[in-house]
Amino acid sequence: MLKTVFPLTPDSSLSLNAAVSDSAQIFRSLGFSVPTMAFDHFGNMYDVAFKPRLLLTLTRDHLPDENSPFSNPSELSNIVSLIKTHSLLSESFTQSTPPKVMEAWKSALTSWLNRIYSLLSTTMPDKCWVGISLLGVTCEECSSERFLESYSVWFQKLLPFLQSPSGSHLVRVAACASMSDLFVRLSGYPKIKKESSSCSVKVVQPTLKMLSAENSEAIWDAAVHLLCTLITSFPFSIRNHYASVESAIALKLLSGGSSLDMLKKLAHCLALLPKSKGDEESWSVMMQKILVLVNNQLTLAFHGLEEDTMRIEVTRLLALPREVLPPPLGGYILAEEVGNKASKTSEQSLMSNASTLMFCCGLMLTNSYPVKVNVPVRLLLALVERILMVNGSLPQMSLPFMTAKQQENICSELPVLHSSSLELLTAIIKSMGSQLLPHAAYIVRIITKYFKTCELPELRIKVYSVTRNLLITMGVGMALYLAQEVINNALADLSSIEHKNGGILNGSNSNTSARHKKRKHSSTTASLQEHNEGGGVGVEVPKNHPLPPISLRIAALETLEALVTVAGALKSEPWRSKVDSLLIVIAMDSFKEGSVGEEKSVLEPAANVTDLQLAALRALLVSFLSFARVRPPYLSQGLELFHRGKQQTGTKLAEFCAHALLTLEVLIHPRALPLVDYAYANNNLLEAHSNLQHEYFGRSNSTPYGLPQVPPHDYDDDLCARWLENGNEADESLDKNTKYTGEPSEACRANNPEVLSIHVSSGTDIQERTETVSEAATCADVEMKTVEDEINFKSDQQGESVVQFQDPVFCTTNIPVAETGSDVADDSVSEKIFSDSTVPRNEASHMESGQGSSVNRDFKLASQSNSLWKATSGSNIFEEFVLQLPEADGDDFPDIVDGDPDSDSE
Amino acid sequence: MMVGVGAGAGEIEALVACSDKSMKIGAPMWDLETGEKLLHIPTCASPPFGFLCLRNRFLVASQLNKHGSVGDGAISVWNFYKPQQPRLNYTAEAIGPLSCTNDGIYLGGGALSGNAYIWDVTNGKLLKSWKAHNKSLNCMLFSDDNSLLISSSDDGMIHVWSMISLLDVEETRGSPPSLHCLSGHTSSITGLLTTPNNYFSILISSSLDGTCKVWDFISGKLMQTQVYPLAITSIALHQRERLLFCGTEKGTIIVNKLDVVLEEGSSVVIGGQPLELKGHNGAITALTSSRTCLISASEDCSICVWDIFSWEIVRMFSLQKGRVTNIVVVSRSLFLPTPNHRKVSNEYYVSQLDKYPQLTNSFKGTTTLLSLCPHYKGIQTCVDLRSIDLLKQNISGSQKADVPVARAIHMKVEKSVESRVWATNMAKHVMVINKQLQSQLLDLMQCRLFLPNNTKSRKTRKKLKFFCQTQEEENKKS
Repeated sequence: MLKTVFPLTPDSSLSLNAAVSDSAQIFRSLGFSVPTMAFDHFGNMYDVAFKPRLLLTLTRDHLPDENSPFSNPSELSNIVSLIKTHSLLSESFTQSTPPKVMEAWKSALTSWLNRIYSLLSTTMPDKCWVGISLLGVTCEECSSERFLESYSVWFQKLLPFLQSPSGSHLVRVAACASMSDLFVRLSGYPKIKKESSSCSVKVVQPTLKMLSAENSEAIWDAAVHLLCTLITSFPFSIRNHYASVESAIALKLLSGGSSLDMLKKLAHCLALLPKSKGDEESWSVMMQKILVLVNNQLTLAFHGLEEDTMRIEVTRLLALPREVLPPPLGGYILAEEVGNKASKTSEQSLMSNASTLMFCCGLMLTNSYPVKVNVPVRLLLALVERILMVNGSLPQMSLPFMTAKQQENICSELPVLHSSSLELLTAIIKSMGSQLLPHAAYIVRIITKYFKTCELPELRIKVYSVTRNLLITMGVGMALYLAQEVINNALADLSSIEHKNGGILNGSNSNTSARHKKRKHSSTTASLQEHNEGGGVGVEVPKNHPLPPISLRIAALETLEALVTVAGALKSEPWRSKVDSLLIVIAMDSFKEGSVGEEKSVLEPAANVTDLQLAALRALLVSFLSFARVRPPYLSQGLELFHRGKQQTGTKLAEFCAHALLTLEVLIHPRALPLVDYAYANNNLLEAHSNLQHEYFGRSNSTPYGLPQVPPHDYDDDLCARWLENGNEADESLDKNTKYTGEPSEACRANNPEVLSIHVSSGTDIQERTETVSEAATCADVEMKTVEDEINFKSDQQGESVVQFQDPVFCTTNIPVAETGSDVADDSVSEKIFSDSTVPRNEASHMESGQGSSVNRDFKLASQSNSLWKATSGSNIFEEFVLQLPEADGDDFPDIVDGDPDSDSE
Repeated sequence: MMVGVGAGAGEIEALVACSDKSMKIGAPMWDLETGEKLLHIPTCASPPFGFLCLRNRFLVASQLNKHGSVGDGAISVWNFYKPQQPRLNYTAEAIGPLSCTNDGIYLGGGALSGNAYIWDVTNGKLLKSWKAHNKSLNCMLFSDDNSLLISSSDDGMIHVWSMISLLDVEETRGSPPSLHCLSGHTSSITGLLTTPNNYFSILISSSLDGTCKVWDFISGKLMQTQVYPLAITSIALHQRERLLFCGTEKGTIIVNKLDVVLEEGSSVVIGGQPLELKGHNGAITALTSSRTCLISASEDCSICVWDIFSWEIVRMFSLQKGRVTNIVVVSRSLFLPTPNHRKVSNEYYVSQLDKYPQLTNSFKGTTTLLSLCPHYKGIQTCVDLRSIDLLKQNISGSQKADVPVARAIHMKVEKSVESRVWATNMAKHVMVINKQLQSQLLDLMQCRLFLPNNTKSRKTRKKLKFFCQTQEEENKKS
């Protein structure tokens, strides 16, 4: 309330800390006089005894009274903040509160109220204002008992100020605000509903009078605020005055001359109005009244600018829902008045009316409503389309009927109208959710049509946000329709890099920028270059064309992010690589110190630049995360950016980068979280469940490595051969193999401590020879799991590097094997594994050399785990498995030999 | 069939099961924790996949009228609060499989003719009906974001439809083209599953041809084929553990790990070695998984609850004399009667479903319905209301008040039809016997006339022969 009364009042939602420090300052500034009870000390600032003292002091020394003049309005805000900080009016006692203090507080409050009453009875408007405002604060802050006891007195004190037409504006505004505070508090006590509604009924009439009779926007504002409070808290009181409230607001809304802010408040109140009745009928009648009015205003404004079909369509839809059209908004008299006026008024006011009313529609859709309602979606969408399709161009035939001045008027207002219709569209999407599905195709058509023609940044931002909402609401099905449109537009809006580079290239420092460009290109891959070239050709913008505003680029990035989020599944789409490379370029660009920042900071606040950076990184993260089959090509660059961002301590960017790094951790070291058996066994009851696991894995490996038993007779050899040559399967068998190792070794450690020593020693052996990562050997069990995952993730994609390291791998496997009896079998097994996994190398994917080394590591680890397994198998713990191996060997080995030549020949 | 209705933490899960054998078996509901029977829905017989739960508030079941009572099918809707009073919605033809979107707004149904239907549950409108398959439609599924509809048929075809183009009000063609047509199965599809994450658009289908195929249903590519030695009759997925359960015709359940990180190009996996659960005697008819257990149902009328850690049967339920076709897990706390039966006017509500679509031009003008509390909290949800011209269209749909009567009549008709069929059969049987007797008699007379000097013994032999014949006939008939 105070916000509306004193411009100087600190925001009531001050955090406590701020408020406390404020109050300290206030104490100093107020210059407290020597207290009368000079040595009656209290405990600390939390002591209850302190509160009545302070309240008393405030009342006595800092409130004006009839005689002493009111010095400074800002002092009042100090008093209010003190009261709120220390909750001086709350009278909150605990059991332990000494009765003396309770008494003191009560009497202090009584004297505070008495002072307010005396202020209210003065004739001086400024003192009256203070009294009314403080009464409002008291309504908010006092205890329930106090409020229930005296609300009727307070109501009676405030009511005359609303009724008297002669009071000063200041006083009446304050009275409205305090009254509204009183009713807000009252609505919290449903027990006294009868009394409180009888109070609220008395207020409606005077408020409406204020709205219609007064000519000051401040009073309208206060009156509308009070009306809104009544509608939400005491709908019953409004019900009898429904029509008059409607017409009063409609009059204000349509008569023009109000500020934009005021119009929004009026629209808000109008949107709330059906709530006072709370039934379905009044909501749809109100909606229809508004839409009829919007349609009429548009018909007047767009005369000669649009095709008749749209107008006819909307009008037809308007007439459909019910046989009898409801009376126009605000009644017939008003409508006539407005109609007369409209013929005289300019197109501007017509269009601003229309946009205010559409804003109201949007509010009606998004506000909550107690019952289910019929929403004329089709009509609303037709209306939106009607507006968006008008761009101010004149059809040939209406050229003679319109002056250039008229066209100018219309075109000046059109962006506002477009913007409000896009807002309405957003409101429709938000409120309907998935129920919009039958109309989704229609919206898609509107959006795609409009996206192509829309040029103003403000409007494009709105279209982007609508698109985003659609994508998130309707998922991949919507992405199928909108992806191309989003990509085209976002590429156009984000391709600023090319322009800028081009611009600099013409300037003096051509060398540096060229180097710049080179570095960028060398760090990213060929597809990026392609994109840049393609983009440069595709988007033809003059060299001196200004960059798209940062906010537009942010919107485009956010929309790309949404698209990739919902449509990650469309990975085979050709746009995907384009988007990925664009995102990394933008993200890298945003980190180039100076280039973006300095240039734009003159025009736009610096915060926007970091917002762009944040948006770019968010989109980049999503693009990384949506890769499933291959490592994102720009992952290393991206990680570097996230690390750099993380260093900007205390910013949102750093927060986000930390989060992003955590998320990406999973991508770098994939943890395919193990089956429940693993987790369960590792955490507890290892022994109890090891048998079970044996059984499970024993079965799953009833032939080793998950190779099939002789395939069922109805599957021909071709199937088998295909299966064998397939990289995926090799991978899987390898995967299973290592898993197999992990489990038994763990189990055997539990059973036989000797084995542990064996496998650790063999581990260190390998470590020395092949310089693998040291921790792998010491905590082999843990490592092996990651190893297995790495293989799982990578073994199909790595290229030549695998071959290079094949030999060292073999060395390591051979060493521990030599001690075991079953080395022949093992050898062949490992051979098989590697020969299989090298098959896909022919179709080697693009592999960066930087990642090659990590691949090697993975493979070393893999081989290490193999050797470990051999070590354990050699130690006779797993005789059963060892026994199985030679048997299987005979079956499987020839198969593999057969399989490989096949794949070569293909 | 496998509608694992997401139960939040702290809620107790309950299991509802039903059969397709007879309406009398009904649908019992058990507490999964204690095994206690919570309630029994009296009359219900649904074909496979014809039973689901809407927003944990309503049970919806397509009803199978075996004896062709009226020709039309019906979909019953039960409110958890009033399980004795179903709302019957008659449909243009008998509906088999059903499917609903996660938000419970759209309901899809498929018919034996291959036609598919989509209703808006909240206002009852039949938004679309079209010819989806040439053969009987046997399974339907919405993608996780509700934007795609997947349907499969008895001939092994799977179609992927875009909901946006299906429901496009300006689309006038009767049957819009499907997004993808996934062919590969050689026999009837027995189950469809999608994984509930956005990114992987993975569809798993199982078929009687003994394979499970993994598809990318956005691109329409086949990614993996798992080959089993037995026909797969049901599949379910345990989400967290990425386990795929395949029920076979022999009554075993094969537990397989599902690798979601899949390679390009299709691969073939030949299954059969992994863990196999044995416990049922008949083919598995339905599988579903809850938080900690796997639930399987079989033709042998039993339902087993398996512990996912130990793979042991922790509980068994049985449906008297009826093969189980559907099992659904619902969260239990929701159907404990609310303390104050406060009627929330804009809560989620299932309207009477339309039998026929509205005419295109009138549909254009009508309003879409919704509630204006888009941010519903928890269970107490709010959508929509009744449509204006609902009554006009609903001549055939019986009103809620006279549902019990309608139900009773239905049952009676069913019963009388049953007895009539029996009577006709008997009549035919008797007539056949009569004919036989007559011919035999003629034979006898002929013998007597032309061979008067035949011995008595021969006569008796003939008599015996005749007697045996008639008895054989009788046996055959019965």
